[in-house]
Amino acid sequence: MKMTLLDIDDLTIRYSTGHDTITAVDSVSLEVGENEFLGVVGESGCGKSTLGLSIIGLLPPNSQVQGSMIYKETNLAKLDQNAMKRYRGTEIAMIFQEPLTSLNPVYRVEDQIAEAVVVRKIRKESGEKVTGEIMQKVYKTKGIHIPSRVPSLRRRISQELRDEVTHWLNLVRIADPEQVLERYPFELSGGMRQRVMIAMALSQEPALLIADEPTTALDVTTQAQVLKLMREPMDKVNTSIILVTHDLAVASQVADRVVVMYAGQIAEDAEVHDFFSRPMHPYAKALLNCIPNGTKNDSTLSAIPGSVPDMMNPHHGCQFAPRCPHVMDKCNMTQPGLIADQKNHKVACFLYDNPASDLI
Amino acid sequence: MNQLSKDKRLQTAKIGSFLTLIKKKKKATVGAVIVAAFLLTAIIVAITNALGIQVTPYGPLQQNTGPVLSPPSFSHIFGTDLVGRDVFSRIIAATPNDVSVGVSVVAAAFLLGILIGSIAAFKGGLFDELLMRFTDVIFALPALVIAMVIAVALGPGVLNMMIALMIIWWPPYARLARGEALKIFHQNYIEAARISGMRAWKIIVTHVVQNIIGTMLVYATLDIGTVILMYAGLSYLGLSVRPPYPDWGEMVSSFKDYIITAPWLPLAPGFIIAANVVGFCLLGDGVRDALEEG
Amino acid sequence: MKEGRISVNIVSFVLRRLSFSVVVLFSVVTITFVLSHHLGGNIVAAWLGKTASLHPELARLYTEKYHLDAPIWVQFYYYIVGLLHGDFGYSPSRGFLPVLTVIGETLPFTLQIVLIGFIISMGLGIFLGMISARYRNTPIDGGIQAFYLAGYSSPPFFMALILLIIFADIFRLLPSGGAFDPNLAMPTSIIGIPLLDSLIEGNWAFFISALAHVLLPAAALALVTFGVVTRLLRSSLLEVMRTNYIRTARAKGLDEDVVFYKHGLRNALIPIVSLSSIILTWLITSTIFVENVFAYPGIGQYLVTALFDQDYPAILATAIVFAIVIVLGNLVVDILYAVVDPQIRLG
Repeated sequence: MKMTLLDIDDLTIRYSTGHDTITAVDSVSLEVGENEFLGVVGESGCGKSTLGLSIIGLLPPNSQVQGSMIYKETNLAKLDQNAMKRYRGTEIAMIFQEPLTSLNPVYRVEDQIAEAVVVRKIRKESGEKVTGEIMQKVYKTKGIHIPSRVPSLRRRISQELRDEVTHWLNLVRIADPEQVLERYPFELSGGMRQRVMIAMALSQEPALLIADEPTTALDVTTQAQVLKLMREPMDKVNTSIILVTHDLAVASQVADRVVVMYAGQIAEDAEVHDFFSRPMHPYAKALLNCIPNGTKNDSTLSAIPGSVPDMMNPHHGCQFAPRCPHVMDKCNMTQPGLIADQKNHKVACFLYDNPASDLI
Repeated sequence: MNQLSKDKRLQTAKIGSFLTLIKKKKKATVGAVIVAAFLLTAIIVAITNALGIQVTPYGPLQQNTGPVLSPPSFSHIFGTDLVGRDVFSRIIAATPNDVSVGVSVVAAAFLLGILIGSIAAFKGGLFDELLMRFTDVIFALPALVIAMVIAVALGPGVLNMMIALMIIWWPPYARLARGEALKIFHQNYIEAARISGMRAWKIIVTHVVQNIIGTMLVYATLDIGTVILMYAGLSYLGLSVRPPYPDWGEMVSSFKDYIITAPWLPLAPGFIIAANVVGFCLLGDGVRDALEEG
Repeated sequence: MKEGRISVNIVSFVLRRLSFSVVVLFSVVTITFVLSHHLGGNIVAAWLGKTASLHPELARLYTEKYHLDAPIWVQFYYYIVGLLHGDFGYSPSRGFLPVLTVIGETLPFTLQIVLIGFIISMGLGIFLGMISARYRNTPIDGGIQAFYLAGYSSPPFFMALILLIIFADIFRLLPSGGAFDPNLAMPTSIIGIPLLDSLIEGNWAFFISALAHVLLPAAALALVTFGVVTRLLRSSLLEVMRTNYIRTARAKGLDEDVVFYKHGLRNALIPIVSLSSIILTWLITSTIFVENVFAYPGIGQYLVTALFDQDYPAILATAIVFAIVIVLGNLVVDILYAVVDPQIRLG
């Protein structure tokens, strides 16, 4: 039985913009187990990215968080930036959607990954504050700083650090890591940059890695490669991954568990095979229908009629009701709660509101 | 003809919206008030000079209007100089010099720049390349130094200063115009080719002006301030208006030795120069901020 | 990958900038030559100044030496040759000393002001830029904006006068003129710049005096020019701190200080390097006025007196020297920019 790493309970996140308040995440509850690969799937604006950002504490300043996120007996939702910092770089790491702009353009790859490693070492081994001076000591750099192609003239990171950085680059299957180390981000392709980001995040040996649409900006082939190398290291490192994506197909390839979000709420939460063999929520079923088959028989692409609800003025009852083919009167009056069955396949829909099912 | 009248309407619309923008931000309004004050003074002084009427409390050349080197007082707002002339009157009288140089140099640079930029874009090829290199070289020349040398060669006087500055001031406008013209050129090339050569040329220029006017006006407003500072510098060096005729920069220069004994003498004209430039800066910045807020 | 091979890009970049600089300097020389034919009516007068009529034998000597009766192309050729040999003519306003000698005596002092002025301007500009970014849209930000607006709207001579009356008269903190206390001995010439020479030599008395005398003129230059640096850094910082790579840096668990200085500021300062060539040009040109107000014996003061005395050889020569200093300064900054931005260097 896997241990629960992260227990999110009744999490609600609101943004205030001037006079309006948007509820991005609405009473979300879910669990992430150790060494589990969780796929959080939903359309743009359903709150999945906000959920990811809130776990690592990088929400914008105008946001309010209610509820709890218990990670190793601490409620992350209650921590301020200073306290949160101690989790980043050791326990929790995140990679983002735009690989082209997520790396600092003026530092080489080796410097950026080495920095991540150094933070990990300082935090995990000494628990001290990560100041510039302490970082310098761990870097053990020598030589004067001349930007140059001639490695012996430049300030280099210590050989020990270099070896470790190379190890992480190898883990993400970068051929010729010695070359890539020397490169600046602008010299690398989008796919390469994303691999570097993944290597950098993994090098901090986090217990939890959040990946926010890491493959959206990449072409299909690279996408497949990147997904594979996110999945692979899981055997070697004891990390849980939360993959946030709008693409169900992507989640199906790599996730252990799938959570479907709609309008800030969880619609369905199930183990991956169970989900794809018997999807329960009407929205989830519709999403599965939307995936193009790739065969000649699939001549028309199906779309879900209607549009995503206005998050500033949410209406009563189930948010999906206006677009649901099975809508009942009940659906427009009250919110359906999340109900689980024997296989821990959870769904929030009145269709399944059966006295025979177990309630959470 | 239809096209031209449409353009005229767009132009007037742009001027109207310019006024709205000014009202939008406090910065711009304050700047506009200051600029208007200086412009008005310049125009009034220029006209009354031509007509032979005196508007200032005392004649700018009139000596012994009060005790020599007297400090500011009710009758002499900025005091008197060492031959008893009223400093305030002289400052007012010198207003048209700086203001006219500022406005005319920028206007000429604007027009010249659009002309050169449009021609370069239109002709293209090696001609364009050479013309742009030429523009870059002129732009790289140290402005004050070259203007000064030209001014020495041309001789003293406001008009000569204007010419000296106009010769070197146009490059940024040319670059801007050329960039815009290239965009238009690519878009409308086919259409322009259908009409005869001359008409295409006119259309390009009109389009360029239309598209540029927003950015250009902001830049030009700030630029007027820069020209005024440069002209004040040339005047300080004694290259423009010669005594006994008043000019702001020249007044500071001839009285700088009195900074301790009669500080109002060099500080008053200096302050007026700064105030004038501040006005243009506030106006330009304010309009730019208003435009960015959209 | 071949170690030790310098990127082709930076070499071609430097060459391009260098050749452009040469073209600019050549244009300046041509302009001064052409204009020298329109000064004082008579070309000989241009070279001798208004004293031409008093010294007919000198006039003949000049005509021979500079080939002033030959066609214009020949004259131009000898003009260039002369310049390359350091022959800038003789200065009537300085008792017919060779212009180059006078320039040699005065240039170091100008460089002192420009150097200190540059340091203060960039330092103040960057410092206030960081503060106004940190406290944006607060009264502090507004106050800083008002301060630098007053600065760059002031003609340099006005700023110099204000500083003079405040610090040299009302508060009597700093001297009001000259470059150093004339009773002190000059340091030996190592670099050629007295302020730095005295520092290297350990000649503290001279150094303190020279520094005290350079402070007000340099401050005048700085107060006029720092504003654009502040404004640019403010917007650059605000933009940089919103980028994705800053978010990544925070996600890595770095302290906010490290995020700000190592990741944020390092990127935000890149456009400032570019701006510094404009600042440098502005400083060098403004020094003409500031030296005049403080009676500082630099090349600017030489130019002002030359204008007054109609010393045309001096006017033209100082114009060329100013151009040289400006072009060289810009070249150095351009190269520095390539060092600072890896995309220029390697891309």
